[in-house]
Amino acid sequence: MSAAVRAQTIQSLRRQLIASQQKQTDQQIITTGLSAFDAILPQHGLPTASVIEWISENCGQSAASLAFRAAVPMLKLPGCLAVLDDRHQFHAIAAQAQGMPLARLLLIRPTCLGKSSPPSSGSGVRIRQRLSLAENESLWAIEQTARCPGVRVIIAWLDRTTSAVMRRLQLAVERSGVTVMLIRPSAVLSQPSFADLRIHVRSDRTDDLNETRTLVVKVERSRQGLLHEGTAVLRQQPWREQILSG
Amino acid sequence: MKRLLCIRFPNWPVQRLLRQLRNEGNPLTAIAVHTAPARNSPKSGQGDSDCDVQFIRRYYPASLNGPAIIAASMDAWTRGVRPGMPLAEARSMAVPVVRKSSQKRSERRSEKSAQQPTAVEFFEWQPHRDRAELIQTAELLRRYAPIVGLDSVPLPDCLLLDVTGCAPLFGGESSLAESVLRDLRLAGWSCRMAVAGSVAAVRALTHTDSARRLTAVSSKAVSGAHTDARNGRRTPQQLGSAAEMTELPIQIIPPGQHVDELRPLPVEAARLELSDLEILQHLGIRRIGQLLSLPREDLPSRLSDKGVLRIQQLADVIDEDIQPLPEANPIAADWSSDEPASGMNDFRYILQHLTEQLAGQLLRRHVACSRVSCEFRCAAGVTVKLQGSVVKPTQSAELLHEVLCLKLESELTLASLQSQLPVSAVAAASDLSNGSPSTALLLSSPVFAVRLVAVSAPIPPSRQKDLFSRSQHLVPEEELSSLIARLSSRLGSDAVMRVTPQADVRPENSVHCLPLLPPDASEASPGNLDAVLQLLAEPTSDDSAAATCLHPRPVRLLATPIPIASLDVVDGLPRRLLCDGRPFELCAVSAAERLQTGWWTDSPCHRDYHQAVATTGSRFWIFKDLVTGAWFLHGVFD
Repeated sequence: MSAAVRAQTIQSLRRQLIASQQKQTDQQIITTGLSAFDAILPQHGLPTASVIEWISENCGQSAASLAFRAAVPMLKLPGCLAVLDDRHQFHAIAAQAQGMPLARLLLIRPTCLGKSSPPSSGSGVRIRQRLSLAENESLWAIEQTARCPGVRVIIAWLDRTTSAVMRRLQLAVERSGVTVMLIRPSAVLSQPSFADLRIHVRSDRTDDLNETRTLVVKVERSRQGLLHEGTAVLRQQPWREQILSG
Repeated sequence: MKRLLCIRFPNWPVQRLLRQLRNEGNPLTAIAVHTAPARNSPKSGQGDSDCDVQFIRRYYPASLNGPAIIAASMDAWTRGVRPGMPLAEARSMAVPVVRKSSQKRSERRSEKSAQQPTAVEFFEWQPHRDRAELIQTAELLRRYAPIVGLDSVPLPDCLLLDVTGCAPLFGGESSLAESVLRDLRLAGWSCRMAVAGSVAAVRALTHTDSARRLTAVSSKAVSGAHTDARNGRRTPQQLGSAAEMTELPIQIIPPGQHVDELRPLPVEAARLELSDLEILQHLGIRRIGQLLSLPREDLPSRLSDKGVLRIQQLADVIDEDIQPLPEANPIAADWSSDEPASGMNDFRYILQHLTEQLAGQLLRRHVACSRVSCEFRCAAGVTVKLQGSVVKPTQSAELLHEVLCLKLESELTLASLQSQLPVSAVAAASDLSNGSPSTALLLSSPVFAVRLVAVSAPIPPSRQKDLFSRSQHLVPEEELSSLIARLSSRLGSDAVMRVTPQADVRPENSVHCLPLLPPDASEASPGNLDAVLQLLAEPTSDDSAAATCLHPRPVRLLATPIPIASLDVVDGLPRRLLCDGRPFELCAVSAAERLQTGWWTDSPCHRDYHQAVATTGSRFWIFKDLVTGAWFLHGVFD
């Protein structure tokens, strides 16, 4: 086979591959309004009808705050923002500080997992059954919400899950057009992911709280391929929760 | 525009009893109704009747110590019997009123007055029979309106009819009302009616003594009434003449004018709680007009939640719907078989079959379903009940089937967890001790019959869809309502909520989470739910409003603050804390933000909040309790 024919074949195969990857719903790209962050995103914005993982290096690193800040522009489209709060700790005022209107917020609180509350009395088997039931209910709720076209964005905290669940979420958002944002711990970085985007957030240590706090954001994985290896630095003003672009 | 008819039966317990006695051939007119003695109080579990008894105990404190009068006929009233009076005192007071001066005048007027008045008869109050009779009376009125409901307050004495669009069928609203009045009088009832645009308005109009109209009474009747006022009693003749001159059994308020008609009425007609009425009395607020002119933002801090809701209903800000009474011919579907059913697969199949039947009946009757109740009849005659609700009334068999199956699955799973044995081996692990069999019975006992009953509701208005829109088949509000119904069925109605900010300095109380689908579906107002769904789903120009909070708040707020060990506090500031089971060394702590509540608050808060940064860069929200001096971790800036 000559080189020209080979190149032609590769091009046609590439076109077929792109066509097969075409989603069932129209995917839109919504800019976050944070220019430094948009610059490192593969399509210079966050896609709708996708699963996005926000990996928090540690607790208290503002990954969830950044997720809320990035989700706000998506609310220009119809649909609500659903927050799945299985630990019953979500404080809506903090999300409001990122520009999220509370009237568009749907709060879903499945059975409280035993993480933050002491386990109820009973045998170990019964406690494990309860935890398993609670996790199943959370996953079921995420999937049901992801299937609903009346929802625009879902934000949920998900520590551990299986690839089957992630695949089901992916299929659900492809049909419904919902964007699922999962806040996950750094332990999942070593695991494969079905997410469209995986974003790693960490904050720099600062000894002076009067100085601007910096968040370092890195895109670890993208289905469309990484734009470049750079990171974005976002600033968070003291005494204000709002995240500003670097 | 909505039009509602309220029919009030004044002094309902007495009226019901008098009619019953007349039917029995007992022409008593002087009767009084009293509560039962404490040892004979109605058994618990009668639901609405319990509410009535509790209300009477709050309203008449004398009923706590023994039987007390709750209602008296006019003849008994003139003999000194008053509601709220202890029974023993009433019996002693129930002597004929004989005054020499008045007796001479009455002798001159008529022979009737000269006759010896009869003694007062006392009867025990039967709240459940009062309610049952009222519900039975509602059946007489089914032909006038598609929806007939009972008043939602304790001690109901009125019926509510939704006559929107019905007036032309009867030749106008006045003809309709006169026809209703005629039917009720033929049945032996006396009543007052009002037609207006809201439940609050019609109820207030019918429950107000026509004080305004007494100003038009002739001076003779007024002076006659005042003559006996020094004795504290009015004669029945004068009262009767005044009433006949001024009492209007039917009031019809033109559309859009009911709020103005409410303004001169007393606040007692506003269905407020007793505690709220006391507060308003202290503030000198006597009329509904004064109540409506109060600034709305201050009301939640002064009145109860229900009081605020009532005021909003009076002002027509919040819509209130009538909760329909179950029909004598309900929409129901039954299944029974000699081959019993067991297991989730059988139940799913049966429920699918029955929901299809229900949907067919809903279509034929041109109504929708907002709630469906399901009864499983197990062996030995035990019945297990379930209920499923939807956000918007629906005619869809699929949605009803899904809601019921989700409810059944979650109940069965919970029941199997609560028992000590695994799901497949549960046997009679039910709490029959309180008389209510739980769904655990379904796990072990075969089911021989299933019955579904639908609560009908008006079909919600359909939305015209854009044929040429790219997403023409999607209506976010309708999709959301289906999602909320499914989530509420499986997770519980209190698991799906909307959030509103609250003016409270305590961070844990700064937001109020309201279930979208109340546990008791009868409390759900379709109009309000539609408005909430629209707010949730549709973007508006106000969505980009900036946050008003000037101080940072953590995304994660712990339900219970975690104490920081005193050993970790050095030089008055904490240096180390535990979060999610891991230790964090703190390197910086910000200046304090003081949050304090007023001294009158039930659970006061005196705290100095700080942001604390750990060596890993993690940020926490900690506070020092100014009363105890202890440090706590309250939030994490996730």
